[in-house]
Amino acid sequence: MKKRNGSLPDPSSRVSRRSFLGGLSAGAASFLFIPSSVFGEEGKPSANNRLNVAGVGIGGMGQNNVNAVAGTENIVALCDVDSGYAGPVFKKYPKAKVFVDYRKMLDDMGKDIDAVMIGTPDHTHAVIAMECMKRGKHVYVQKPLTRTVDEARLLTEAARTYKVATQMGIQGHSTEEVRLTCEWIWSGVIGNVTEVHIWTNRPVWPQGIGRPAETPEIPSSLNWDLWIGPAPMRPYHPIYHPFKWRGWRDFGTGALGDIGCHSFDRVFWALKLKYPTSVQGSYANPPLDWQRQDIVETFPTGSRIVYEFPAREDMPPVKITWYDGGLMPDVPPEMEEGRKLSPDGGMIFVGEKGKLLNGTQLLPYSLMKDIKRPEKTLPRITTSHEMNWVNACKTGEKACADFDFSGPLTEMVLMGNLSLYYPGQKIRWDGQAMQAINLPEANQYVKHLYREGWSL
Amino acid sequence: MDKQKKAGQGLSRRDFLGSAAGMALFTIIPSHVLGADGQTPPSRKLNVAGVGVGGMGGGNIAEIAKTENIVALCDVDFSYAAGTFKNHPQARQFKDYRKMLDEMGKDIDAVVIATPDHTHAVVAMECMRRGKHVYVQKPLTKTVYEARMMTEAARKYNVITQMGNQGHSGEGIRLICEWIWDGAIGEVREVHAWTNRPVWPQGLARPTETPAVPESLDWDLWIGPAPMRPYHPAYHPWNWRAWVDFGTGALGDMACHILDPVFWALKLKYATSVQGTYAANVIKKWEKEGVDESYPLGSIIHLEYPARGDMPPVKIHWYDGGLLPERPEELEPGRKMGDGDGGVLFVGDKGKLMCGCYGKGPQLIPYSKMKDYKRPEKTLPRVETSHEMNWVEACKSGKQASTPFDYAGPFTEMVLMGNLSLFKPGEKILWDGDNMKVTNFPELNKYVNPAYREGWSL
Repeated sequence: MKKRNGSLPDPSSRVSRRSFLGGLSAGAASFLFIPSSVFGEEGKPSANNRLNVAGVGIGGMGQNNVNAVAGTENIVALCDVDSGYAGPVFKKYPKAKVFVDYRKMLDDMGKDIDAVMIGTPDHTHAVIAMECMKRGKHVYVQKPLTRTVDEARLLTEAARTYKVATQMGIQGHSTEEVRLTCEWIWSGVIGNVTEVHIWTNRPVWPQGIGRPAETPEIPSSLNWDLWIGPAPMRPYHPIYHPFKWRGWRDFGTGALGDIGCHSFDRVFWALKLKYPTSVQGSYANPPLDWQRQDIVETFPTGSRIVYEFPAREDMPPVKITWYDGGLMPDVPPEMEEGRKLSPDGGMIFVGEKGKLLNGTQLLPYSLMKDIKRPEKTLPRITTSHEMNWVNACKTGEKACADFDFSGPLTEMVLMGNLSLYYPGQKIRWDGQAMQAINLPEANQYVKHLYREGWSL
Repeated sequence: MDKQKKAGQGLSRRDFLGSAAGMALFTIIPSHVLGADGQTPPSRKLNVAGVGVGGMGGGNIAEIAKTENIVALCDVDFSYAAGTFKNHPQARQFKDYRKMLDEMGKDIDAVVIATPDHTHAVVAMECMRRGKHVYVQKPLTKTVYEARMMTEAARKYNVITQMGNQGHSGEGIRLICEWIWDGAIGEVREVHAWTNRPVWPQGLARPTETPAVPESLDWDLWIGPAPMRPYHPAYHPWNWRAWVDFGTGALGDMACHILDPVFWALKLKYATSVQGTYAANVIKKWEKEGVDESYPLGSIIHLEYPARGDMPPVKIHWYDGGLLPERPEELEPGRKMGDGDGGVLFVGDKGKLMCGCYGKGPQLIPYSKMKDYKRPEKTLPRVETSHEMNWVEACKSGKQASTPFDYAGPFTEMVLMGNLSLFKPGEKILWDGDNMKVTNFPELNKYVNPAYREGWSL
């Protein structure tokens, strides 16, 4: 837990850094942070090189993100549709103004907010992040970036248009391991990679279920209409909020959305991936009255999905197989007796000259002794993932998992969910055009369709 | 429905047969010995009993009743079995198969067994010991050990045996064998097989409620050799398939049909390794249901076989619960993978062959290959009757039925090896088939031959 800086200035009692910045010319300069010498004393942190940060959706993972920047930045506003769920966080930051509706927060305090951390359920990432970016705020958005492929594309484009610092909450992307994986793969230690297997124990929340029929009363702390946001309205039920929205198609993105963004991250980077050319999947679900429940309501209990990617630069085509819900790939014959693949999750890169477990362990492990480790050529990140973004907001440099990277990564992850609507079919994908070539009916799942009153 | 003489009347054909030995044992008494000319004499008819007749057994019995005498029906639940009882009013009714055999043994030639999986072995073994021919629903047994014992017993007691994998009497499976043996797709090193099962609840915890046992049901007998537990409708009727103590899951239900052409065409016997993983229900946040109580919602299982004769080693990949293998590039757009129950994809070094469940509708893919294929001669004998009647005829002629235990026993072992892998997900289990032993995880051997409840033995 990061210690909170005890001398947070009252944001309203000083010149808004944001309004100052707003007057600067556009382009690269808009990212430049005002050096502390302008506003503060030399040699000690001043109010002015602090970002004024707001958090939207802070009851769950969002609070960790806010905590990670609160030590050095000003937490000026906190917004959550459930004051009960977010209560402890509100209490922790008594100086932050509290909001239920992010739009009101932006309207009321927009000028005092430099950057927003968004940790809402998946289905509201896009509308909130888009609104923030439109107003020139830097954004840190929890993974997956969005719920649909087209939202990810639109956010990626918006980040460029509005020239804000962006980061997706894949904190692993700031770690040493991800860089090692890239360097190992690029050094050719296992040769050209033709196959990757990735697995996770997720979902560890209920999936493969039908919509509940009961309509319990909405807790008084919760604004259900705002929680639903751009999704189709349905009655409140505790099976959605908190946390378990992940399983529901209208709100979440299942096991892939939760963990896929983390585990595909290093694969996407190391193998220089962009759009898959095909995807196919199948899944296990609990049956009901002799019928297997399809994914009308929730994502399945377990799935296996195969992505195909074309050749990239000097890399040959590659096939990536995803397993979730407890399903796992075959144990590689190179694994030593007594060692096992972690049931929690992992990945195996299969190259023409060898195999790499989790991106950093050659199989068999004995090979590690003799291997000449490649040079560490990628710059390392010495801060937290959140602070990497804070620094980007201040310096104008790109954050490590900005939307240029995490937008296409999210699209790829979400393509897996698309495949589950057509088990037994191979969906051929035109990534540029965002179109399923051979199954035009699949395109209905690519685009966001918002409830009246909501738009991107 | 035939009008039959009441069991126990007249000269027992069984007594008469019992005095002949060896080969002759299987020879049916010619009709002129016991019957009048021009009529179907009772002596040409088998006296058949059914044990477990409320479900699939009722269908087997109905088929056999077209030509044979149904002399006894046994079911632990008279209410579930009522329909079958009603259809065969001449048959004596029993709850306990042991009592049935004791009281009517001499009047019974052959027994159809379609109880839940966990009682197949004890019932069939007792019948064989008494010299009865047996037709046993698939899977032959609940455990690998039981399958091995049944296979040996069928030889020892020299009775006619058949497992109820009726696709084995079909045309499709024969075509597949003939085509693969003809080299239509070259050497086969990889096979994918799948089913939509389970379509009943699996991935469950044991129910905690203890409703009253229905009056019509003898729960102690239903439990039979399994560990005693309170009655619950989650087990009987039908849903016992899901439960590790009673059933064999999706594999036991459908792999005995779907893998049948694989086992036959590829001349398989014992796997050398098996590994599997599965998807299960989440009990509560961060915790999933294991297979302590019931089989999972979906699984992917891999079996490895060594070279056999002139055939190279082969890997068999099994998918259930809706999981599927990758769609082969050779399958034209719009064509379905297998059929509604599942299917098989044989991958040879010269081509691919796909079929549905029961070996139905085999096709080389793409279809252009099928059109150009010069089909080999049909060398395997065809079964012109139903699977049940194939067994009836075998009982009468002394020839082997189409899936005698010599085939169905090792085949069932293969299927059950898949379930064994689920107790150690993500690990490759090495199997010594001859000695029925897991060599690298000895703790798994308890699943090969779990102990029977006291008072029960094979």
